[in-house]
Amino acid sequence: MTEWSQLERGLSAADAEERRRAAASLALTTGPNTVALLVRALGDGDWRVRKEAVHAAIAHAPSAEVLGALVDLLRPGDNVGARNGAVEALAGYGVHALPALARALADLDADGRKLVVDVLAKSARAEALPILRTLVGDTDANVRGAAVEAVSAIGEGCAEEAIAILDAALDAPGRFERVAALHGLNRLSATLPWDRLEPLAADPLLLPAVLAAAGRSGAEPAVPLLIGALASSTGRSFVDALAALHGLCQANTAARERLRRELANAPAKLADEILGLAGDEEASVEARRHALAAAALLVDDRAARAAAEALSDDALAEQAEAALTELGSTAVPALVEGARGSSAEQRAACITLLGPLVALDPDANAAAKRALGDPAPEVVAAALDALAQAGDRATLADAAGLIDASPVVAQAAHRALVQLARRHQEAALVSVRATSPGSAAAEAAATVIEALGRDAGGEERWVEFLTQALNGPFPRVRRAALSALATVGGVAAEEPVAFALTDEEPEVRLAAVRALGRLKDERGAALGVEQLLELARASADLALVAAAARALGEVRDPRAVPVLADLLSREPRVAVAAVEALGAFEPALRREHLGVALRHPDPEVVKATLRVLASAREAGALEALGDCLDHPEWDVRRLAAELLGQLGGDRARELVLGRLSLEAHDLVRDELGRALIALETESGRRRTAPPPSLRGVRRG
Amino acid sequence: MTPAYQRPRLTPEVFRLLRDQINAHAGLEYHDDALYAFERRLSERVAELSLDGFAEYYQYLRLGGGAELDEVVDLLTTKETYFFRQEYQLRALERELLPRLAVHNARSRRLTLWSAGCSTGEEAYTVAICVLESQLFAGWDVRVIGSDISRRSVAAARRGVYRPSAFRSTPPALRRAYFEERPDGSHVAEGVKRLCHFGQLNLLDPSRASIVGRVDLVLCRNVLIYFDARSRAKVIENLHERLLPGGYLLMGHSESLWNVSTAFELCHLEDDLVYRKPLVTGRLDRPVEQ
Repeated sequence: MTEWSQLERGLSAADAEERRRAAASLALTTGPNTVALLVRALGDGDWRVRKEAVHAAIAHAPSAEVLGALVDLLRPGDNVGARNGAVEALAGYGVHALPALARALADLDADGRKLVVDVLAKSARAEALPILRTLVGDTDANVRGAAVEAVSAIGEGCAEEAIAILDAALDAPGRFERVAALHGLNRLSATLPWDRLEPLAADPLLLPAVLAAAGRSGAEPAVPLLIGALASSTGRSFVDALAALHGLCQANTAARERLRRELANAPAKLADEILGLAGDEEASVEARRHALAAAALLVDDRAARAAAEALSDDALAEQAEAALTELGSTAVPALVEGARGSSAEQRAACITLLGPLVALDPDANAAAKRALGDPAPEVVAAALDALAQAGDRATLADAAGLIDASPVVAQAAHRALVQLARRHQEAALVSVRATSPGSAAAEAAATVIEALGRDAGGEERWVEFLTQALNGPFPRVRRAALSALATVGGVAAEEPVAFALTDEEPEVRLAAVRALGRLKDERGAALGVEQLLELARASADLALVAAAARALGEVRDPRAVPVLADLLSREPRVAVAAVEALGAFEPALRREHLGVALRHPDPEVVKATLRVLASAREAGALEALGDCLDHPEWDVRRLAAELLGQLGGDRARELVLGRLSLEAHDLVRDELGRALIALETESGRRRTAPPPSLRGVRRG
Repeated sequence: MTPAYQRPRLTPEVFRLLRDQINAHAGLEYHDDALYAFERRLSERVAELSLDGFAEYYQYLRLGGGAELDEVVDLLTTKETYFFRQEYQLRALERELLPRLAVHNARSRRLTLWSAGCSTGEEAYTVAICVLESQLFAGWDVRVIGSDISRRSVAAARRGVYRPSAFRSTPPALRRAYFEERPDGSHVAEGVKRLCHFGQLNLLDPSRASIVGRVDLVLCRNVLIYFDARSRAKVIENLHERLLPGGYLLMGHSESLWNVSTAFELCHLEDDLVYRKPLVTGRLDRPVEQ
């Protein structure tokens, strides 16, 4: 029995599984009967057979014969399954199917042309847009509507062209085409002028999409319309209107102020509804976020309470914070109350928000002071930050007492101590004088000395105190003393700081390296360069070498350049530090060395080099980034794409586009897409915000 | 019932591997009789790391890098010592060397003494007390540097808190004058502490040793015995480099520079023999090749 008769017999079998197997084997067979058998399998009564036949047909791409047969299946016929299968298979042919589909349009009926639209939408190829542009002007309303939807569906990767088509479709005769076009424009985040949107607002079918577009576009004249829509809508429409209001607030400050005024004059019922939704735990997070944004515009303590309550919900906290900040002093009672809440996150957020008011409002001040005794470290840290600006002398002692607490509190205590010492200098110096350099309290004293710097006077005395603190048993004290010596020490501190390089604790040694980098004499000349160079050249401790390299970068002494260049071939952590340090020098001094670093086998070194090149926008950066688009490590390619997006210019766009067609790694492709958007936005080619999937792009 | 802790056994073969590795890392030399000390001091580390014996620990050291080797050196070299050890030498320091240095340095009014291999600080503090007792250096810039390869020892030296056994050779009057008795032990007085600066140093590493700066006198007592001959020569070379011309090197009573270096000259004192870096060095004499 021949292969063909076996296949025919298989496709005629009563058992669907046997037919499915026969359809699958069509993917691997080529011959005069292939097309006929594929068509037959595509029209099979069982969906599994049809699905297999679709795969088999795609496997033959770009066969003109199979393509022709698939296009023929779009013509009038009774077999719906075969037509749907043809649509699937043609979508799988991608760009190969486009010319045949374009030719077929002339003699396909409306249903066939609608199927062509389906194929183009499924194939999601930017190359299909010219055909879709034709179909948007089709004589049949269904075809036109589907074509508009298809344009918006595939427009993400070719937004400018898609937006132009959809913008034109806003003038289409059919309401539904206009609705589809406006939804498509919203989906592509197109910004539209108000005079383009206003005529559409008269159509209630279009109004929600008009409001969304107006919100995103920051169209202030849309405010009355928006308030009217809020007052008259319920349910999902109400939430959509709130979303538009939220967008408008973010896009345009003047519009936000107008919204605030108009809301104040709106019926009280509207405020109740907004506040009700903001506090409704049954409502969706999205709806509550929009409601909180709207509530922030109401000068109403109920809004503050709703927002303060929402602080304990991770999903709403950010929006709640924004609302409370917007509400300003109106929010104080709610925040003071929230600072006593059961959730530590809520208490911390309330204290943080009270921070700017601590100096002005006694209740806010009292709440922050109370919070210093809170059992949760994040609340204490928030209180220290809040009081740093406005705390009294007693707070100075509070901050000093917390400087060796848990890391989060200790850091906040350090920040507070620095600010408070500057505000209460005399009291701070009295506390330092009463401190033993060998005690744990010397950490706070060293922090105060550093904060006051040379303003404190009596440098010799402080250098003596800090040098003694270096002999103490507490590594934290020794670190703080080194940092302070770097600030106030001058020549007298050179020896004790250098000796601290022998400290038994690694973090103290690192602090000594950093201090050497900062240490300067009275004329501002760096004192630690020789020690740092020696460390970079000879130390076996990689962490110290890396720290010395970084410190040399900060000092910017040209003697460091050859030493740093030698480090470029060392272990990755050292080489990265050397690259970053070289980044601080003039391009002419470092260019040749960075070229070497680009060839380092470790991708982190290459990435650090790319960052330096791109941040300086120096000559050769573009080509180096372009070369790295072909780097074997995907993360290097991704960074190169991101940096090209930030650098801008036609050459960067050319490089990104060139790589986009070759890149196989998903994350790199995404980054290339973002870079392209950034480049096109920067060059004025694009008039949209990034599409939803590509939002969050960083711009240089 | 909890089973009794069974210490992992260290075979002679693995001991030799460990010993050689430590020698390569820190220049410390151990003879075959150190096997038991190795087993006793390192077995807890083997247990802490959940390793299946010393052979695995050796592999861990080989592959794990320098941090664990430092830990080993710490464990092997931490040793208890006491104040005013080798009293005859300290007498020489107080009666002859410090007065000479007081004259020699009268112009700079600066004195730097280095206890190289200071263990837990007793020697450095002893030297500082000697300086204070001599009453020759009031108002001077006096620095007593204590260094040791062991992180634990340096940390203990910084704390400056000692048990009674550390005072077995300390005259009671000095103990009363320079220590403060507290419930957790005897604390070195602030006035003594102020003179002392402690750091972690491998004496074999010249770049680290250079951080000490130039010194007038080095006490390197009962330290060289832990090094092999080549490392010993290297250490002495580094100490020579750090000493100012005319500076003194004090070694343990059983130690000498015989077959180690000819760069020093012998200095005969009433109570001791010490080494001195010549005031004028035509060339730096190379250490004697072994």
